[in-house]
Formats: sequence, C-alpha cells, structure tokens
Amino acid sequence: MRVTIQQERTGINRARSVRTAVGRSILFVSLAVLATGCQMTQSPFVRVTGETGAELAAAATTLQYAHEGQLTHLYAQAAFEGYASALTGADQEIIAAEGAPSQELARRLADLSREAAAVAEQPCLTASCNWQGQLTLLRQASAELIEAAGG
Amino acid sequence: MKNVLAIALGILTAIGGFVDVGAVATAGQAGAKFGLGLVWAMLLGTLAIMLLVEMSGRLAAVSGHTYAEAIRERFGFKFYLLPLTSELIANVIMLAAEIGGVAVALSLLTGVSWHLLYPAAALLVWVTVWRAPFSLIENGPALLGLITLSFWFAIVRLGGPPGPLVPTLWSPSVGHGELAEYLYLAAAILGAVISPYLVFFYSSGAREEKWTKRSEGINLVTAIVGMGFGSITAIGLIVLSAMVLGPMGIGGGTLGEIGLGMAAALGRVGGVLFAIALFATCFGASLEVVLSVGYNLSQGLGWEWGEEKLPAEAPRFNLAMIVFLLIASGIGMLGIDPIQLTLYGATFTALVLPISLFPFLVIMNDSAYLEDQTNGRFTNIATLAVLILASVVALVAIPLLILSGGG
Repeated sequence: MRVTIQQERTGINRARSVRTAVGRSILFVSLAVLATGCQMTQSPFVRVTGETGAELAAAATTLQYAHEGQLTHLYAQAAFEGYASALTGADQEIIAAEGAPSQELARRLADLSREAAAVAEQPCLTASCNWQGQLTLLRQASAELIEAAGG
Repeated sequence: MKNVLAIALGILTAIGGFVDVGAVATAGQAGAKFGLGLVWAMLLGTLAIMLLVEMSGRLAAVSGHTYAEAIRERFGFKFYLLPLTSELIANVIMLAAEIGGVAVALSLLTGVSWHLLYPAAALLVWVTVWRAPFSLIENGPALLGLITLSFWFAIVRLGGPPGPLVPTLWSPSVGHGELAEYLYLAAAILGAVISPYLVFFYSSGAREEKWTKRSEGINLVTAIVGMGFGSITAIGLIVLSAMVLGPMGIGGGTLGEIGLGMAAALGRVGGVLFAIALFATCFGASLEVVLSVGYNLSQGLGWEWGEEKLPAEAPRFNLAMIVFLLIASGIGMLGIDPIQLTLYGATFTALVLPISLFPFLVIMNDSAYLEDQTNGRFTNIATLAVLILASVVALVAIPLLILSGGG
C-alpha cells in the first residue's frame, strides 16, 4: 500500500516537473517570438513586391519553357491560371502597402505589375502571337519588383 | 515469403503515402526561399512521425485497439471529444486542400481549370472510398506515388546541388526580416509531416489488416524504413526547388510553379511526372483523411466500422465519410488556392498536435493494453520530446502565420 502511494507521488511529481518544463519552454519561445517580432518581419511593401515579383518570375519561366518545348501547353495553361489568381489585386496591394520608399515608386511598380498580370491572364502560348514581347515584360516587371523588395 | 512481401509492400506504401499536398507545398516553398535551410525541419518531423506511427501500429497489433478506441476507453468519452473535434476541424481543411491538389494535378495534365475539375476530384475520392477495398485504397495511390522518387532522378540529371547551395544545409541564409517566414515554414513543415490523421489511419489500418503480435516486425520496418524513404522524396523536392526555383527568384507560391524544377531537369516528361506525383500523393492522402474521419467518429461513438464491410453493414461509418467529404468539398469549391488552404491546414494541425499526441504518453505505458510491449525509457523520452516540440510549434504557429503574412 505504502509502495503504491509512493509510486503515485513520484508519478505526480514527475508529471508536475514535466508540465513545468513544457510551460517554461513554451513561455520562453513565445516571449522570444513576441519580443523580437518587429525585427523578424519584412515591411508589407517589401513582402508584397517580393511575392508579386516571384510570381511573375514563375510566369516568365513557364512561358519560356512552354515555347522551348520543356513544358506541355496544357501544363503551362493550367499553371497560368494559378499565376493569374495569385496576381489578382497585387497592384492595389502594392499601392496600399506600408513601407514604400516613395509613393511614386509604389505607383510605378503597381502599373508594371498590372501590365504583367494582364499577360498572366492571357498568355501567348502559340507561336502566332508576340510571346517574346510578353516574356520581356514579365522578366522586366519581375526584376524591378524583386529589386524593390531588396532581392 | 508472405512476411517479406508484406514488409516490402508496407515500405512501398509508406514511401508513397508520406508525401501529400502539405509536404509538396511546404517543401517546394522551403527550397525555393531558403535553399536547404529547412531540411532539418523535414528530418525532425520524420523522426517524430516514425515514432508515432510505430507506437500506433504496436498498440493495434498487441492490444487489438486502435489509437482512437484506446483514447476513448482510457480517458473517457468527454476527453475523447477534444482530439475528435480538433481532428475534425484540421482534417476538413486538409481534405479540402488535398482534393484541391488532385484537381490542380488533373488541371496540369489536361489544361482544364482546376475550379471546374474540383467536383470531379471530390467525386473520384467518394467513389473510391465507397467501392474500393482497403488494400486497394492503401496500396494503389501509394504505389503510384513512388513517382515522387523521380525528384531525385531530376536532381541527379541536373548534376546534384551546386557547391554554394550545400552550406545552406547547416547555415541557412535567412535575409533581413525573413526570420518570421523561415520559422513559420518550419512550423508548417512539422505540421504537415506530423499529421495525426496518419496515426489514426495507420492504427485503424492495422486492425483492418488484422495485425497480431506477430506483425510487430512489419510495423517496425514500415515505420522506420518506409517513413525514412518517404522523407527522402520530400527532401528531394526541397533540394530540387533550391537548385532550380530559388536562383530564378521563384517562390513556389502555386503548385504549378513547384513543378518547374522537374521541367528544368526532364523537360515535358518532368512536368507530366510532377503532375502524376501530385495526383497520386494528394489522392492517396484524400482517401486516408476521409477514412481517418470515418474511423475517428465510428470508434469514438461506438458505431460499426470497416472499409472491408459493405456500406449497409456499417451505414453510419459510410454516411459520416460522405457528409465530411461534402463539407470539405464545399470549402474547397469556395475557390481558395489549395496551397493557401494547405498552409492554413498545416498551421491548424500544428496548433492541435499536443491534444492528439498527449494520450500516447499514457496509453503506451499501460500494460493493460501493451502487455510486455510497453514503451521503454528511450521511447518515453523521445515521445516526451515530440510532445514538447508539438507544444512549442502549437504556440508559435499562429503568431508566426500573422507575422509572416501567411508564408
């Protein structure tokens, strides 16, 4: 009987110390996250220009691969649906995002991303249209947006 | 001979079944954005899921109880409602994302909009769950999922990781202001890999296949070797994305662009292989999630269950799966991008991980269930470590999601 009670006590103590250790770990990590929260993140402007630039880079590569025969047209068509969806409203987000060095830059990048997003909506996947022009626009817009994001 | 075949099949199943839309999305983004700097998270998650899967299989083999049944019996129905509810919420998001992954895969193969293909993908999942026997559900998509091994073929074809990429394995290059995103992706990888639905599914599967004490060898090998190889394919996608997408400035924000790595290495065939791999892994995972929900509800509420039984023999089990599938499909058809859904699903899974995993500590030390096969000291320490990791991830997942802007 005494052995059982002692075992139960040991079990309870062990459970308590485990709970304390888990609690402390969680507290430490959460404090670290909260305390350094400001330095951990990018400004909304950097984030949105970076994401838009990355999406346009993907669109450019897809267009290039489709015309170089590295991707099927069906694949490219489906991939562009994803890019068009991801780029919807990106121009508005760029203008509205906090942290832009200047409103002029934000407006110019928004215009550029709007033009590029239009390409993503109607990509030229056949040889009969000016796909090189679209590719140049996508590459240029992507490079400028990524540069604005500090990349 | 029969045992050898069972082990081989178990390993193949685990390799194919390890990767799902969560693993594809998080691995693709991790490689594209941080090189090899998040391979550690995949490895850590793999060790954790190996441990959990082994324990759930051992429990089923020795005691004849699934993990869900043991929780309910040992802790009571009121407690069981906690993991059940959290699993239902996490699984409905994950299922919507997995079906979205199937739809995107079909879209990449056919060029038809994934929005239009979503109902067809959901229907395919339903028909398979409704009609197919357990062995086909378990092994069919998993064997097809072996195509994920082509990620490594693509890496070799490209000449392997270039020199400057290798040091990011132990010294991740996290830019100014990118720490929140880095940590968020780490949490999302852990949430995607340590999927409780896999644990519930695995122990129920052991019962479906009538495992006994003699199946412990199969269980151990499947858990360790199978999950290990499965992890290697996911790591392959990180490496491939790091080699191809990162240098091009591509972030892996959509499923279609993650496949560009395969196209860069293998041309048109690469894109098609990626689409088939995505289909197989997401389809397999969809079936596992739906069944897992059916198992959880039926085992918790005392309903008749079993995929080998006719629908009329286990009507509530089958009805629960249909209702759940309809709810998830409704969410998926709202048009939310599958990758976004996946990241939310992985975050929510991370949030509720401790609730689903805590009972392991108690049940696996109860000789009433495990007889002489209870956890040893090392396994208990490892389980405790996983639980602490899960708690930390649960606590930071939402703040990191907000700080990073959603990955």
